[in-house]
This record gives sequence, C-alpha cells and structure tokens, in this order.
Amino acid sequence: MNWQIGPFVRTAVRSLRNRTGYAVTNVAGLSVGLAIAFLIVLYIQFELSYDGFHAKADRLYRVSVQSKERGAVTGDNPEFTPPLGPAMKAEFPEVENYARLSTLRPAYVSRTSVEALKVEGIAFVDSTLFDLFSFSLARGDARTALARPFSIVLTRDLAGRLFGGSDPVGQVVKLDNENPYTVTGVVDPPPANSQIQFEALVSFSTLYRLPDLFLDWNGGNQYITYVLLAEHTQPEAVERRFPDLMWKSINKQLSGIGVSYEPYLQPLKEVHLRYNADSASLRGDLYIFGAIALLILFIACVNFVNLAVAQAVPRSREVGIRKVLGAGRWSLIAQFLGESFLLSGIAVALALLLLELLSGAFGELTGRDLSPGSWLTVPMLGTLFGISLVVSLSSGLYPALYLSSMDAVRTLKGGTASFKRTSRNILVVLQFAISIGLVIGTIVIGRQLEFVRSKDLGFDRSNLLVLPLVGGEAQGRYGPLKSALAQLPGVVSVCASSDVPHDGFTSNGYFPQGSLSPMMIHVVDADEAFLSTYAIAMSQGRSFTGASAAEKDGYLINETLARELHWKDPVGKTIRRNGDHVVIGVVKDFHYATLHDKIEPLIITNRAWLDRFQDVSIRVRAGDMRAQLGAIREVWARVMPSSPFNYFFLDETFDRAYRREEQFRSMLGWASLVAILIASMGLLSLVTLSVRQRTKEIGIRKVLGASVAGIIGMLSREYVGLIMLANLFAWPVAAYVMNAWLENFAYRTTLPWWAFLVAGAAALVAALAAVGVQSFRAATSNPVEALRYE
Amino acid sequence: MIKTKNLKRTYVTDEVETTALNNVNIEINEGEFIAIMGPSGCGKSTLLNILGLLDNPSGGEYVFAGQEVSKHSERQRASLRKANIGFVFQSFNLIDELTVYENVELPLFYLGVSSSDREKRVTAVLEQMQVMHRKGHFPQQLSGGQQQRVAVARAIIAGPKLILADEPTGNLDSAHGTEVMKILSDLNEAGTTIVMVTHSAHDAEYSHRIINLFDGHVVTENIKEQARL
Repeated sequence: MNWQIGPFVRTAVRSLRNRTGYAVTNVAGLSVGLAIAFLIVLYIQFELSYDGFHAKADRLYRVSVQSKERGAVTGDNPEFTPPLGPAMKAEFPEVENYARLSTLRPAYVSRTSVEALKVEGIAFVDSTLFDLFSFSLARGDARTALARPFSIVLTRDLAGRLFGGSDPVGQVVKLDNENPYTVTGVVDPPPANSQIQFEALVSFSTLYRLPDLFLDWNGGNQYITYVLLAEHTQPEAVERRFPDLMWKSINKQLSGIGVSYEPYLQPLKEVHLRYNADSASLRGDLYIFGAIALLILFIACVNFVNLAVAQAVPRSREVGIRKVLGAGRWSLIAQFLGESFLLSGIAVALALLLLELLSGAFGELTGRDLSPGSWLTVPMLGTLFGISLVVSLSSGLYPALYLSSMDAVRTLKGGTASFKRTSRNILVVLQFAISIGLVIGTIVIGRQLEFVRSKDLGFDRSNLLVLPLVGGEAQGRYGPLKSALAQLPGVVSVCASSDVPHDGFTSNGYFPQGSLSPMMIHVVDADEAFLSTYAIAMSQGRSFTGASAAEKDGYLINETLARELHWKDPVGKTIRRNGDHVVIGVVKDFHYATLHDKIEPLIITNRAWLDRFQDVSIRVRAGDMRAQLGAIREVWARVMPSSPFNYFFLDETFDRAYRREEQFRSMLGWASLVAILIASMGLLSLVTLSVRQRTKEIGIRKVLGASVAGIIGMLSREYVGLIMLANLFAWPVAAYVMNAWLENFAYRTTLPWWAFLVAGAAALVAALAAVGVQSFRAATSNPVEALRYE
Repeated sequence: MIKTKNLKRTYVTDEVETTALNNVNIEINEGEFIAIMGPSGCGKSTLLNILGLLDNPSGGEYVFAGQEVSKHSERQRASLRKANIGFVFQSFNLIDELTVYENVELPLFYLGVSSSDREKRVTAVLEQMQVMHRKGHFPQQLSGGQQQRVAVARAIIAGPKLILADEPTGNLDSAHGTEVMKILSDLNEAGTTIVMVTHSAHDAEYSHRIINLFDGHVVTENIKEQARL
C-alpha cells in the first residue's frame, strides 16, 4: 500500500471545492460548536485552577471547624477564633507554619480627612502570609511588612488610587478616620482564580491593640486559619491530634452544655469546588456547562456525519471506480478520513479564532476573568487539540467506514443503491431533541427569575434607599442624620438597622423559654421606625416604641419562630441571651434572604451592638429620584463632613442576588440559539441533498399533475414527523431536569406547560424554514429541466 | 485463462429470487478476443462482473489463470484483480475530481508503484492513446471519445493480461466508436485477452468468437474464421 499523503490531500481539496455548500455548512457548524465547547472548557479549566498558583499549594490546608451539639453536627465553618493557629504550630510537629486571615471588612481609607475611599476588602493577616502563599509583593519586605501593629499593605490598584504615581511605602493612611496605619508594602492583586481575595492587608497584631475585641478561644468566629504542613505529611496525622488540643483548650468548658468543636483540614486546592458555601451549586454549574458543551459538540458532529453520509449517493460511483481499480478498504478509509480531517482542521482554526474573539465577552457573561489569549498555555492547547482530534475521528470515522463499505458492483451498475435513512433520522431527532430541551431550560429559568422578582416578599422593597454607616463618625451621628433627613419633603420615613433584608441576617444562639439547649436564630437589630419604613406587618402584639429601657430590651419574633417553638400565644414569653428578653410582638413572615432559602426563625431586637447601627434605610416618595438623592447627599455632607456618601437601592441589590441565575439564563439562551442554528443548518444541507436526489421524481410527479403545495407537503412531511418525535424525547427529559433545577429554590414557579409548546414550535419553525426554501425551489422548478437532469 | 463450470448467480431481493446466470460453461484462452451478446437482462453484465472478480458466483466453479476463485474473499479478489484485469465501461467511469493524468495513474497508485515509475508509465500510455496534450484536464472538459481513450489508458496502465469491456462504444458516435474498437483490436494483437459485452453486431465483428446469452444461459457460440481488421 502506498501511504503517500499528497494525493489524499489533493483529492480532498478538489472534492470539497466541488461541493462548496456542503463544506461551508460542515465547517461553519463544527467551528461554532467547537468554539462554544472551547469556551466552556476554558471556563471549567479556570474553575479547576483555583489556588493552584501557590508554590506550596500541595502542602497548604484550610482549617475548618465542625460544631456539634450532643454529637450532632450543627455547623461547619472555617471562621473560628484566633488561638487555633498558634496552638497548632506550638503543639503539632507536622505543622510548619500558619497564617490567619480575618473575614473581609469594609472601611474608608483616607490620606487626609477630606478625601476617603471606600474599600470593601480589608483583611487582618499574619505576617506569615507571604511565606505560605505566593502573593507577590511589588514593594516592601515580605518577611517584615505585616509584622508590626498598624502596618498596612495595599494592592497595586488601591495604592494607585490613593497615592497616584508617588511611592506609598512609609506613608500613613487612616481607616474609618480613626487609627493611623503605616503603608509597609504594595502587593499585586490576587489572581482571579484565588479564593483568597483582598484589597488591603493589615497586620494581625493590630487586632490585639484594638478595643472591644474577643480574641481568645471563646471569642468571635471571624478568623480563618491556614496551615502549611511539613513535607511528606499526611493531613490525617494532624487531624488525629485535634481532639486532645480542643478538649483542653475549649471543649472541656463547653462539655456542660453538650457543645464541642472539631476541626479538620481542607486541602487548599479543593476548597473552591468542595468546601465553600457555594461549592455545591458551582459544581452543579460546571456539570451543566460541561453537558451543554458535549451536547453542542454532539449536534455539530451529527451534522458532520449526516452530511458526509448523505454524500454517499453522489459519491458512490467514485467509490465503485476506485474499488474496481484496486483500491483497498483501508486506502478508501484513509481518503475519506483525510477529507474529514481537512474539514475539521479548518473548523478548529476558525474555532480558535472565535474563541479569541469571544473569550472577553464570555468572561463577562459568566463573571469570570477569561481574558483573550488566556487559552495559550500548553495544557490548554493540549486539551483543545485532544477535543479536536476526538471530534474529527468520531465524526469522520463513521462516514469513512460507511462510504468505503459500499458495494462496488452495485454502485457502478448505475442504480443508486438504497441507503438506510433510519440512523440519519435518529441523529436528526436527537439534534432537535437537544435543542428543544435547551429552549425549555431557558424558558423555565427565565420564568423562575420573573417569579422571584415579582414575589411578595412580605415587605416593600421599592423606593428604598440604603446608606451604609461605615466608620465611627457615621455610626455615632445617626441621630442628627435621621432628624435632618426626616425634614426633607421627598422622604417618607427613615430607620436604622444592623443589616437590611436581601442576603440573610446573621444568627446567634438563644435559649427560648422552656428549652434547655441553645437554638440558632437569625437576628437583626433595628430601631422603632424599621417595621413602618419597610412596611412589614404585625401579626400579634405591638412594635417597638422606645418608651422605656425595659421596652428596649424586648424582642419581636417572626411567625416561623413562633410556629417552630409551638407558641400559640408568644407575647409575654421570654427568650434568654445575656438575660431574659420578653417577646412583645410577632411580625408577619418576610423574606430577609434570597428565595433560595426558606424563611427561617428570626428575632428583631431594639438594641444595636455598642449602640451602633450599620445601615440607614430611607423610604422616598416615588418621583424625581435624582433631586431627592441630591438633597439627601447634601444633608449627609452637612451632618457627617468626613464620611463619604454612599448609597444603594434595595431593589437593585435584590436583583443582584440572582446574578448567577441571570448569567446562567443568558448562557443557556445562547447555547440553545447556537444549538438550533447548527441543527437547522445541518437539516438545510440534508434537505438540499435529498431534493437534488429526488429531482427526477419531483419532475415526474409534476408531469403527472402534482401541485406545488402537494410537492412541498410531500418533502416537508418527513421532517415535521421527525420534529414531533424530537419533542416526544425532549419533553420528559427537560421536565425532569428542570424540576430538579427548581428544587434549588425554596420558593419556585411550576413548570409552565406552554414552555414545551413554545420550544417545540421554535424547533418546528426552524426546521420548516430549512425544509421550505428547498422544497419550494424544487416544487416550482420546470419539470422538463428536472427530467433532462438524468 | 478463463474456465467456468455450471456457473450460477442468483439475486435475492424481498423474498423474490431472480436467476441471472444458470449453468454457464465457458472457456476463454489467452490471447482471444471474445464478444458476449444477447438481449437486455440476459445476464451479460453479471457474467462480466464475475469474470472480472467484482462479484462472486452463487454456485459453480470459476478458474481464473489456473486458480479456482469462486470462493475468494473480497480482499483476495481485489489483489488478483488489480494485477491482472483492466476495465473499460460504457459510461467511462472516470473520477470527476481527478485530472486525466491522475485518473490513469490511479491503478499504479493502488499497486504501490513508485512515483517516478508511475510518471514514466503514465506518460507512455497517454502518448499511446494520443491524449497526452489533455493530461492536465478534467474529464468533463473532454469529448466522449477522448474520455474513453483515457479510460482505456487507465485499463491498460498496469499491463493486465485481461481487459473486460462493457459496451465500450455504447456512448460514442460511430467515428469515435470505431477508433476505440481499433485500439482494443491492437491491444489484442499485442497479446492481451479481451472480453467485451456488446449490443452492436458491428463491434462484435472485431472478435474471434461470440458467446450468445439468453435468460442466463449460453445459447450459441459462434466461432469466427478470422478477425476483421
């Protein structure tokens, strides 16, 4: 056998040149399909790459702590008290070092008292941070930068915003207009695929100099501990040591009330996809995106296969001649595979071009940093090449085997051999079934988002402006601010609270009357105007009046808490936390978290922590929002001259909580559009070929009196049947999958029956458009032309 | 060179069995020029396909060049075929995507002949068939007679002992038809065995012997005294 490659390529090129329409359809469909698949691979690869950039990543672990009550797990959080890290290093020989990071907190950072920047992500961290993690320090000394109290390291971006071009190291900034901090370094911003994010780092030792902080074993759970294990250490060896350490440090004291804390180690590289609160839904997204990639690739490959097989009729003569002249099966397979590879090679090149063009937009769509060119890495190219190879082989092999197996004699005798259309039709049905499923998914997700947006939340979120009170001055001068705001004509009412209802309230342990063990209950501190400003209705009892100190110690509870405690008459009952608090009223349930969560038990107190509220909520009259905002800004500047003005509208924030679903919907929307387009393109080519093969039949029928409509009907009927069949396959699967997706929401819409009809109709319209054009052309052609064709 | 004994070929389609050949006994010697004649559907082409090792008989024996081949696999038939048999068809059966040169070259390519050798032989045979000036053209750019000359060139390029021709002049006008028959005759003179299926009594005149088929049987064999020149 002669394996020279030249003749194969030459034949392939010429053969494709003579069938341009076929080649263009094939290449276009495959390249779009591949580009979408590549983008999704890029996205998945990005999610898998989290925290892998740290040089010591394989030895780094996050310590998470399970809290247990009488043996039952009641919580699992990496946020714990500060002594854990130092104790592990002191007592566990396997622990080489540790670094603690506080949860991120916002503050106003200022150089002078006039200009301040609101910075969301400030973390208190140990000086060992730069030893454990590979965050690169652009300026300053990694070993000492975070050693001394009141040291701060700024990210390059923040340093630029604060200091412009001048060197920040050695300069002093103030946080919340209070303590001065010396800038000791400038750090590159953490990469997008780092689960540790920050804008500024403050030395951990600072915490011990600040007042009102509990930093012992029974302190606040706001500190995340990371440990670096010695080389060749199994995490289990460390975990075996935890019970002793925890017993003598804290569990012994807590054993009386049946509570214990049990730490364990989470490998750093697995944290993002396994251990975070949103890991499960993120993994779900990855599976779904992966599935979409496979489905779209499948649709594109099916086009490839179907079109190649449909070419069998016109090409059978060529196969016959080659066989008669002595072509072996393998040389024919090689020839047809060569053609497939040529086509898919062009498709891959186009797909890479599309990838480059689309990656920026796709990154925005998914909220990920997928900058153009980010796929130009060896492993990524390897993956893309692998996908291309598998796609080329799987779509080229079947046509090659099929074409090369045709009977030489039969094909040469001129009778167009009868080809089985069954498998081709099955593939078309699958293509459209997938497209229909994706459309149904898009509609259902859209409906659920609408449902969420329009759901009665138990409070009125429209026209609510929220001003966060960040820093001592702002929190201390709430009283004067409120009275000044109340005088504005556009302001209906003003209230203050420790949080606003949109993404959930914090929770604490409480002992309701008659219960011996503590119960975790959500809590929000609010002033007397909170319920009226938010239009939250009372169910029993009365609201806060601020009339007396005893009154201020009272609690409001929600209906869910009353129900869970089986309290028919809650008013007058007590709940203990730092003393007994009388329940003075019950509010109707309202959604203070997203609709992913059910409404949980809630306590509303009238006393803020250290008498400082975090947010001012202002209900404004509907109308000229701009003018009202201007007036409110003026009041703010007058009352709090050194705290910058910041605001947000609650309904916008509420919408933002569903950004992931929104992104998901647009992803799915695009995917279904692409799927239908590719499938229709494939169908168009199939119909074109089929019509061409039936030209003579159509001519004879017309001579015998068939009408144009009759011919179109005859040609379309088969495909309409296929689309109907596709619906039969798609509907139950889509119903099952979308029901499972809706399970994610505590409050969800039902599957709309019309979504199924709309999706089916969309597929039918797309298919008929593809079939109709060709059928019409064939049906209106002159029958004499058609008959001369032979 | 060719000997068949009780050769039988039946086709089964949708539970209907059609007998295309029934007890065909023929013998063809090396160097002969045979014409197979008979009405449409009598089994001429079926016989030619079996003789050309494109198809296997349903029963009986077929000895080709001393080998019993009736039970050969497709692979065995293919290797015998490409070394020994050349084909000429009524509809030329040139590959549209290949040039004249490439069409003629194809059998050598499948035989694994080196490219310099291929070039020499293709050039020689194109000159012999007087289509050298057309070697870069595609089949559609040629007249019918030229296409059939290219097809003959392709049939003889590998130096086959046997050429099977299925109505070689069927699609040609009489001038071009005569030209092609002359070429076949010359090849026969040079020693190549030729078996030709034809409807044309005029073409049959070129043969040494005519085998008449009717409904799958050999009815007569006319041995002619001498070939017409």
